Amino acid sequence: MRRLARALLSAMLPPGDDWAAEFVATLDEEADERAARGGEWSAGLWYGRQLLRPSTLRFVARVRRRARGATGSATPGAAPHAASGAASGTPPRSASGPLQALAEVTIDAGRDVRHAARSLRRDPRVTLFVGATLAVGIGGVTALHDVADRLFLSGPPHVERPDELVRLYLEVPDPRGTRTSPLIPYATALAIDQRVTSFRAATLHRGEATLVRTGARTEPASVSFTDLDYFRVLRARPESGRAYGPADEADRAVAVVSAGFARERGGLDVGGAIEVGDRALTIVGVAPHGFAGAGVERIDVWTPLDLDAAGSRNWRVVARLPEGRTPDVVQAEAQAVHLTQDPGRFFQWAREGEIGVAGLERDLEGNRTMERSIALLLLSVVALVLVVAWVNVLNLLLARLVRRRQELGVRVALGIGRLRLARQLLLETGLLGVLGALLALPIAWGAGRLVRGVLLPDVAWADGAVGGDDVLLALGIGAVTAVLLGALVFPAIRRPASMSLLGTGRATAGGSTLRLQRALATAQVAMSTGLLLCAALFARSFWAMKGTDLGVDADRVYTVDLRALDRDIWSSNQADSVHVRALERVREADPTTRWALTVGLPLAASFSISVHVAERDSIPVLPGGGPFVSMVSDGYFATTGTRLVQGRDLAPDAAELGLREIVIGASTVDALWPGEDALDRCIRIDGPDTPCWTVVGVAEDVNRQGYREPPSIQIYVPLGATPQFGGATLLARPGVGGPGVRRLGGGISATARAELIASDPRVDFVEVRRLDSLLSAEIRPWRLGATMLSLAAGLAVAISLAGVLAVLSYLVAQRRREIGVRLALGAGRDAIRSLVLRQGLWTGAIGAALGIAAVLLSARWIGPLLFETRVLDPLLLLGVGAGVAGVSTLACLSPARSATRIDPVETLRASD
Amino acid sequence: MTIGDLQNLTLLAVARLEGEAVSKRIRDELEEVAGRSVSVSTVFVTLTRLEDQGLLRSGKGEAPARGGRRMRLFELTDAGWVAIREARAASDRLWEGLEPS
Repeated sequence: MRRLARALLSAMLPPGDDWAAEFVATLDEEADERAARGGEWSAGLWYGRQLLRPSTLRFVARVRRRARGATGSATPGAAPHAASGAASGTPPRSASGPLQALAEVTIDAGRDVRHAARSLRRDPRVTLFVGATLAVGIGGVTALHDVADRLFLSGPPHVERPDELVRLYLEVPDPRGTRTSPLIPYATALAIDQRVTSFRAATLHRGEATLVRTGARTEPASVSFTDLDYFRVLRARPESGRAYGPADEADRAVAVVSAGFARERGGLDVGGAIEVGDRALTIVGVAPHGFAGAGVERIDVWTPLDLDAAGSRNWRVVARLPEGRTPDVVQAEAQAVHLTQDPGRFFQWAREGEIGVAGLERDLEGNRTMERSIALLLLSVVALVLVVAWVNVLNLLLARLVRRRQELGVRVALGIGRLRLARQLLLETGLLGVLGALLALPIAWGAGRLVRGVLLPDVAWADGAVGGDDVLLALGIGAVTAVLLGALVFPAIRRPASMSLLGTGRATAGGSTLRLQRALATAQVAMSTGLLLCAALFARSFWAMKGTDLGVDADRVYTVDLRALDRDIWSSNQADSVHVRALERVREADPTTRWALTVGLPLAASFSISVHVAERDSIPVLPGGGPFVSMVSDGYFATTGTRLVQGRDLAPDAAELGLREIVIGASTVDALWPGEDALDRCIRIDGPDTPCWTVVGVAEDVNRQGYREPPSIQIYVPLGATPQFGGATLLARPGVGGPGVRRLGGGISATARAELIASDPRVDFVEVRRLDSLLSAEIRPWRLGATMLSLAAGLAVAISLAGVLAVLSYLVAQRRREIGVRLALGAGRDAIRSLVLRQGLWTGAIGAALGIAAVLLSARWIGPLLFETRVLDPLLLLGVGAGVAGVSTLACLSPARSATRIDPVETLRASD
Repeated sequence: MTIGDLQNLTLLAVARLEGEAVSKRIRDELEEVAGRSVSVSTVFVTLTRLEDQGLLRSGKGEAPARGGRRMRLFELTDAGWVAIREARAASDRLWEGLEPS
């Protein structure tokens, strides 16, 4: 370092100058002293810093000028010794070639950087505007690049060679084509793990929200139950402690916790105790920050299960392939195993399925696909904002350049080289790029936090919202911006001779520059219109989704889950009694809230049954599937807000009285008895010879799983009348609130919560969620899409309006003389005003039309991202188009006004 | 000629060092006597500028007894003496009346 700095300094100084040699020798002495005190490294750093000191550069400039003065014509004041030549001490070595060139550049660059900074400081408003404009674009790209990187660019963090890992899944036939199931029935998964030889090793795992107790705290956490091979197959090592493995075969009561979870729970560490469900475990390791196995979603605890004991479940399978092995070999072998394997009593659906094998990057869940598409769309959107920003900055720089033509002309006349001028301009754009990148960092941080929090709250992030790589990326984009802008601005000064404007002081620009500027302004308006249109389409999708009639008041109803570590509480029919007791107590404790109990939850879970009706040989299959059954308590429909379109609710004590009455969904009527009255009809459940259930009411259709859903056959049976299903959930619909009722924890009153906890000594925790939160993952992409696009579009519109304003103001300045002549010749002020307005209107109209055309052309890609919204919506297209054209016309008002205020006399006199 | 504060101090240091005014001693003098810690490059650029302004002149000093390099020796020109006297006088005039005599 020190040697390099010294060589560079020597190259900068004139060779053979003893005074310069003394300077170098003095620096050397001081550096030696520093090396003796603080080591060579600190001496090198100090030397490097000396090189960058303004006083060093001034000294270099002075001795070089002296040397030049001495060799050339005599310069007044030149020192007598300057040309002495006979160097004493250690003369600077005469540097040659590249080093000399580097030295020259360093000297000039220092001066040019100062010059560029001064020039930018002179125009603080433009500088700040340009910096902020670039910052928005760079910040947005940086933030979303980070998200895209985690989701689909790089593999899972802390996993070695993720490219060797594959996921196995099942393609299962479905009434609507095929369905991908990432879960494989236990028996099949185990057979694949044991019998397939074409992969190195496989691991089975499944994630579940499970109640976890640490110390006195009992709360649900995300737990991954795995086999003993999990960490070995992923080749992942904990941050502290150890991973579990085959050695833990004898005692599986161990767990690895995530770093985040350990911190949240007050510094859990290796050796600590944790209860997961009803198992007491010892923590043997803490996983590094951001580790989420082979997936992206946050996991708090990993623990090995005895798979034989946990038998009848579905598992995810991840396998590591040997080098060079292709997934299709594994697929063929696994499929062969699958065909010979009975998946077990509960998983007959899997028999029809086919095993698939895919790399980790392929998404098997289906619900991430939409988020990926939206994330990609957002990335392109922010990239577009960056382009708008670039175009705008380019436009501003061109306008500024034309204003500075006189200054540039003077400098050219004084003999500055074209290359030097270009370099100075490049430095100006470089400083703007750096400013933009620096301002972009807080924006990237904010946007990153927003996207992470709103779009992907469940994802395990390995780093902060802005990490070192993000800073590098921002600076990189800043550098690209600088070079790009410099390269685009350079042609404008290619012919500096034409800038010989000495004397006139009038700024004139060639027609080509003007045309370029107008084209740029039009392009900006076009891009902003496109963004605005996308934002409008997304907002419309979002509201269409919000307005979907789900058949329940999802925003006013809460699910109330009683959670207990003791799993015995839910075995056999106790569940019903625990819940029924809780329902009775809570109804009494908080009568202002409507309460009901259900087995099968709207928007989340339902049970499939078979039904028979006397009038039909077979039950038609509706596109939404079914028949589905829910077991509900009295007051269920009033609680969920599901309308009864015909008949009445189930009798309050139907189950106790043994009344076989049911309520059915509206589409069920259309399917079973089209065009006929369904009341008092008979439906038999689970076989043609079972007793008859009488239809007493018809309820509107309720969505079973999400927003987009075709109709299905739905049946409601009184709770307790059919005991074969378990897993009841309490539903609460808070009233307007009685006096003194304090609501806590999202919806239910503190009294109700206390009552629920007290209803059974084994209940540890009451989990309350609003019903629509079950769908939040589905609506999230649109919410984010609408928000971010609106934000981006708003920014783009503001930026491009500023661009239009700048171009027109510049245009008016350009045509000052012409306008003056027109006014002198008797042109009206109105005519002048409309001349300028027309320009703006044209720019706006053409830009808007181009933007709309671009969106229409990309309708094929945008269409699938929308919810019940067509891209080709004439009203929306016209509205956005007219809006943009109108607003850009408004942006012309100020330039138009200044055009009408031109004083013809003054203008003509100035041009004499 | 009007001179800056650092230039004035540098000229005074050269004058005080009488025949020993090499860059290193001048820097030490500025630090020890005037209490001004200045970098090597600042001393060098100031000396060069003062020489260019004709306030200092320099020549090669004596070679040190035990080898080493010969350092440039500075001394004040007449204009240099005038400059520091003028600076002193200006300063004195401004001080006048501020202190009890």
